Amino acid sequence: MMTTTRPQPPAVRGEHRRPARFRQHRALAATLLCVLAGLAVVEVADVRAFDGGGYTVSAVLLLGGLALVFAPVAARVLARGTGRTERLALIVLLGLALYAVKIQGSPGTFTFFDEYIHLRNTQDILRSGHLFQYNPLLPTAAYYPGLAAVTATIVNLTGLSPVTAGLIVVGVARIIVSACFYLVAEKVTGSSRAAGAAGLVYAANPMFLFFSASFSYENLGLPLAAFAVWWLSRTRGLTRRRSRLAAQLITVTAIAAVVVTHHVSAFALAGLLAMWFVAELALRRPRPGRRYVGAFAAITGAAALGWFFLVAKPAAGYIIGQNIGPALSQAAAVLLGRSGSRQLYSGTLAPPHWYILAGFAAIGLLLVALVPAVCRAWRAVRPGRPRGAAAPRRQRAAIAVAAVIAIAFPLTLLPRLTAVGGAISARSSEYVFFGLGCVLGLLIDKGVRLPRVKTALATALTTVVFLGEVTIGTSFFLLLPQSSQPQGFPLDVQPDMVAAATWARQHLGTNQVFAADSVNELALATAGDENVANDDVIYPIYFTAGLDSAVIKLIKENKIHYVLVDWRMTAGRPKQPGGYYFSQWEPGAGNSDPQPLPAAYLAKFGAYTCSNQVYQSGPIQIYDVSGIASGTCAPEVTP
Amino acid sequence: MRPARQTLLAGTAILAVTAIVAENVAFPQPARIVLGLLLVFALPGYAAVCAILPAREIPSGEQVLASAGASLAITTCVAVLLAATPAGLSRGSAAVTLGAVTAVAAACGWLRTRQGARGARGARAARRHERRPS
Repeated sequence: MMTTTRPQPPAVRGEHRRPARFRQHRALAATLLCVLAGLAVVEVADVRAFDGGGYTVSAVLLLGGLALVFAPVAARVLARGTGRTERLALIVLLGLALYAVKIQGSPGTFTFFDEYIHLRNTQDILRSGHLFQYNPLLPTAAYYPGLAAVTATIVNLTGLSPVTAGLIVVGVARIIVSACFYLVAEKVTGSSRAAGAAGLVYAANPMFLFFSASFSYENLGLPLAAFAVWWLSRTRGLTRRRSRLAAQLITVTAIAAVVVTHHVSAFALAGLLAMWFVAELALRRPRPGRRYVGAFAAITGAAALGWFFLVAKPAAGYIIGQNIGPALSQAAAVLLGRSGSRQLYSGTLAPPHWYILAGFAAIGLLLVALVPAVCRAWRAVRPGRPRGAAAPRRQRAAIAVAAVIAIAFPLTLLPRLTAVGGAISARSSEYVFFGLGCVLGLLIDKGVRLPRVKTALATALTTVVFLGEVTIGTSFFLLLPQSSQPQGFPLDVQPDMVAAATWARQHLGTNQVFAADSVNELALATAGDENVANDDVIYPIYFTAGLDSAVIKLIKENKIHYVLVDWRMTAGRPKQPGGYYFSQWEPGAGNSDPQPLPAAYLAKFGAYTCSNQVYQSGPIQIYDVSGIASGTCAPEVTP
Repeated sequence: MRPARQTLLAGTAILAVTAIVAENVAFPQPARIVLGLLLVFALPGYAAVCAILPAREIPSGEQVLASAGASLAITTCVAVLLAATPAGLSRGSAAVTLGAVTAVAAACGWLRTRQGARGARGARAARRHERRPS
């Protein structure tokens, strides 16, 4: 492990008699206070939004709070006199503080769609004790049960609720990913300051604040993959052969855990190890120095492919057919000029201009910094450099791998220009920022000398990148918790939705097939333990004024026994990106000025025979259409 | 250093056995929470790392990270394997399996650490013996 030791900066006037350690403790205490103050400001913004205060002011407060959390940590991490352990602690603290921001927005409950998917998985394992139960929200997720199994284990052992257990699992995973990333970056760059800068850049990836803090299988798979990489790099150089070999038992366990937890993390791990092996081979690292990596790349690749194609059979259709395939074909069409690109930041409600500007500023800064950073990496890797310019031989392969991943960053932005590629582009940032962070860290450490002014400038730039990436990763109207009395159709699961779902479980039985909108289906699938039909398929049921033959056909084909109607759909479109109730393909989705659902489209369920209302509470109604589904009843307009 | 490590490993084994007992005996809820979280996030990994690297070949800070990461990996694999067996994943099966894995790893670690300590003492004695004038 190489850490640069440089002379301490001269003491500030009036402080020259105080010991350096005292000054360091004071700076650390000030950083911690700023982080706490930042979290307090975030809390104020959340409470203000929940109470129905002006949204834009609350959003500005939230971003201000985030800056107050990020900037002092960045300043301390980038400062020359900060020690290695302190940097590591600060990077972990930053990860936890940003995790706290997500929890503050929805303490004690889940809000993301993915969180409900894995909550259902966890409940299924808790109820049955076995794997691979049908998950109506995402069938693929049931075949990657790592997160759900760990959470169910904690629930079993401690008696905590699944939500609390899930929050703890993701919190611990976040500590692991922050620390492992720092330690791996330190190995790559050979410097603790560069590793700290890499950690800051990684924390600035657009998914880190909210999505990476959600209860989702990726947020366990990726930390386990980072742990496997760190542990392998840490132990393959042990001098005692017996210890070195035995230590790989833990690597194997970690790889197995990644394979059963998340598909993309497993493939990314296999790809990273393969690149590492090829780079060491190409850079002619002596054989003892490159042990195990090739073997583990092969093992991980084989295990990930085997699980993907032999066990998790629905995964191929989901990953390739529904996500990567359409994104690639649309990106190719945009590049070849066959179709127009998607308008960025489009949605039901346009965000403020400064919000859009911040996103473009972050991307611009990263792209500008990427060029000299890759040049710096090339100079460190290129053989035949004069002594002092090249990195030590054991680092060269790692730097080369990081540079290749970083170069992919501009390419991962392309799918954002397509209608379906935004999610893929956003998710890929969690992987690409591993390389990007290391390469930019290299630039910060070796590219420029950083006296105080330059440290301040670097802090400011990383903070701008962080805030800008937040605006890229999160829609403006999803930054803050929803008002306690939402106008129009709500974005999150509401108490009355949970009450309806609970009633359905108690009175209609579990695993009944429901048609419902994209918010009520989350409550039905988890609190109700019901099976909801695929919204992308059944949404036309809700977009006609009568129970015509097309609606009847859909009810029969999807074996829908109950239809849930939420009258709030007639009050206004949801503010989420795309502004849809059921599916991004439904009429009116994505329009800049969409109309709410006409009341007649919902009223039809009460106007026909064979559609019997069995539940009503507030705006929510449930209709029994099992007669139509079974073909025993032909609907007619009631007189 | 090594006696302290042996004490920690003995404590790990005792906690693992206590966690197994806690699933069959009425334990206060806070104690169950602490034991359960330790059994998932700390004990199996610590015991495994000590069993694999008895000579403390990584610094203590990194050992904490290694313990947490290895624990999470072990728990994930154990939980998925249990859920795949006919017995299934339940309160009892999870506690017994994780507790047993931890206790066995702690015992291995304790023995290997002890052997290492004896070996080191023997090596020191041999060096002293060699230096003594004949």
